[in-house]
Amino acid sequence: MELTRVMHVEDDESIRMVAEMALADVAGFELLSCDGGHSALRQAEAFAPELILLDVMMPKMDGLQTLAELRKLPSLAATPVVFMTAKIQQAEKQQYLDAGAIAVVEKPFEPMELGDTLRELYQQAVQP
Amino acid sequence: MLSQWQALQPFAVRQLHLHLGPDAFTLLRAHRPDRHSDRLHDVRPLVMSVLQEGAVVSGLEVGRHGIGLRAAVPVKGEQQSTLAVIEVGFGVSSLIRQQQLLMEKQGITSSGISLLVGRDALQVMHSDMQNFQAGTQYWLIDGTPSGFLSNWLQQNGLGKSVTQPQMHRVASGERHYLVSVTPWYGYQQPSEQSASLVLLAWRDITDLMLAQQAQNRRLWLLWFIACLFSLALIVFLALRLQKATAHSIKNQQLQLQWSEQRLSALFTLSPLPILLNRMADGAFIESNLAMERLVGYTQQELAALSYWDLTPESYANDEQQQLESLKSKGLYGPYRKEYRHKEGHLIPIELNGVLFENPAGEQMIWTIVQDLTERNQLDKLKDEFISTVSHELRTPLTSISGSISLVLAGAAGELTNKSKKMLDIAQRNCKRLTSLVNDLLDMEKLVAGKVTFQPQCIGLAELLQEAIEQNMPYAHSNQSQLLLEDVGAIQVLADPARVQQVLTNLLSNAVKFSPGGSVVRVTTQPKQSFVRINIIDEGPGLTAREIRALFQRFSQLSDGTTKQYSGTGLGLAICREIIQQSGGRIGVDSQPGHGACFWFELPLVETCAANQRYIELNASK
Repeated sequence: MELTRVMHVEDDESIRMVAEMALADVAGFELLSCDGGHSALRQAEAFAPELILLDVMMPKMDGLQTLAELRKLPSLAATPVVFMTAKIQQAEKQQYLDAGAIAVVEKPFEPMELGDTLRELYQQAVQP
Repeated sequence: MLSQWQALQPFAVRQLHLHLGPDAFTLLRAHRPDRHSDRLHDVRPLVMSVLQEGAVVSGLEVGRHGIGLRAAVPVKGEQQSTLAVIEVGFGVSSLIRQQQLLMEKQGITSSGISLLVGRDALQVMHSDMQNFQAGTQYWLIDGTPSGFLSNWLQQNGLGKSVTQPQMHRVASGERHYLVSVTPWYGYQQPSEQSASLVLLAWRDITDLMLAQQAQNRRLWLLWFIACLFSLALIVFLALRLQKATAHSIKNQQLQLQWSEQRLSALFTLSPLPILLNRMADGAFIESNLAMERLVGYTQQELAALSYWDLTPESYANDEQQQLESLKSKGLYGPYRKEYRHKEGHLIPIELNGVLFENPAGEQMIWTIVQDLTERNQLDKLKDEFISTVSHELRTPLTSISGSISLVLAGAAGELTNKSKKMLDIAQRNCKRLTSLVNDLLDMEKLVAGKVTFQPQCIGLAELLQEAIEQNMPYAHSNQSQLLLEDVGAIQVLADPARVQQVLTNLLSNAVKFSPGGSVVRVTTQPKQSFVRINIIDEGPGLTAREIRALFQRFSQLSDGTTKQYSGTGLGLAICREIIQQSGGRIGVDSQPGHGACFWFELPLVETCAANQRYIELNASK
């Protein structure tokens, strides 16, 4: 199954713009960029993303809280989520995986490779 | 002489005496037994002996009237027959009496000779000569001026018989005499019997004794003075010693006082709380002002409390461990715990203490307390700061590097060569900045012990092969080769991700500092309980000074190489922390111009199964 719709939740506008170019222009995904957890929760169900790329450190509602709230939405209960965060320790990474993420992408990321990375992760996640 | 003797024969002369005057020394004596009732054999034994033996004889002779000293010489006739005897002698007893008279006359009373005549000898004398004291063995021919010998003999001073020479001191009134007693055996008398005659030579030693006593007195006086002087000297020296000792003690007391003052000042003014507790019950014996400030109790209040009053109950087990350490090693700490403040809140502290015994034999504990409140706050602040900085730095870095990457990749349209060149520079420096941030965070976490190591039993060959493969693209970009030599089936105990981080750092350094086209070799050396991994390059090598500074933080080679090969200066310091915290060592062997061999050691395990238990045990802790 091919990945086509990706929702990106990131509070930093610059990174959102870079990701937009990397995922929409370069990788060719249908992309929904949200500037925070609340915005994501409002638009997620309507957009019905196949994969959610979620920043960890965000004001008001951080990545883990956002994930927990998204999981409460029936249509997004099983949508693969990839966390994006700064370089972290193995123990922290495990914490995110335990919360339900399929992977953690480190910042700074390589924008030209980000689309391919998400595709691979998605394939792995949806494979029976 | 013969013709004279013969001429006398018709007159039946049996004795012929020739005496020499004036002391009537008998020169010639011939006896007529018919005119004398005594038998010649009895009274003239010497003469008889000479007549019978024809040999010269000398000795004492006791006669009817006294004692004489005699020498008898035979007068030989034809055919060697003894015709007569010439006897020479004189009376000893009369000699002694004469001597006594002469001494009295001349006033000489200091010495003389006396004679004792034995009972046997007296038998041959006239009865008037035998009036010696009844019960006395000898008759004394005294000859002493005061007759002291008679008195002495009457007091049985000499004993009943004399067979050996003797020496006596005899006192008479105020006078003292030295008497030498010499047995004088009669002619042919056996020596084991009491002597017939005893010669007593006496000498007045009163003056000598007085002189001796005077001398003794002088000696005693000298001795007494010497003793007095010695005593005075001893007393003097003792006083000096006492004074010196007192001086020394006073000095020591002053030193001690000074030392105590200094220590007391340190104790009082120390910014760190210091405590003296009794081991038996934990009572606070002494505490300083800093302790007052820390726990809110005054020193007087603390004196009524014990260590346990300030310690929350939750530390009971930890306290027991520290007490055991104190008993076995004599010290404890660093021990982190909490004290309960007078107002009830808890204060984080770190304790270090030693055990000792006071003069009364009680075990006491000196403890230095460190308040960790500020340090904990600072640590928290630092963590927050690093976290914030990390995030705040990474966020713009992410967008900058991402934008540059996209533009360079042509996602935003075609670029001129000059633009590409400039953007390449920007991208390289973005990566450098990212590395620096990453390294800083790594270092901080490692030093603070916040990095969790997950040691596993892993095959060294696989670990090294993976590292080689990961770093091969970088090596190729430098036209270098990475070569892994035969490793064998070695199992090591390590966190693979951390070891990979070290290997990547060392391999990239080796490639970076090696000339293009060179080979970087990776070799292994199994030892007893660990394995050494060597990364050998063909670079310029290192001086001893460079080696010393190499593993320090922000250490980079100070010459032109730094500018040529950029880096954060934290890579090797991070490697050292990782390897040390993995239970190994890291180092470098190098000489300028001969490349460098960076090495590190990892604990070796014989089998994975054996080690699994160790891992599980550690994990359970």
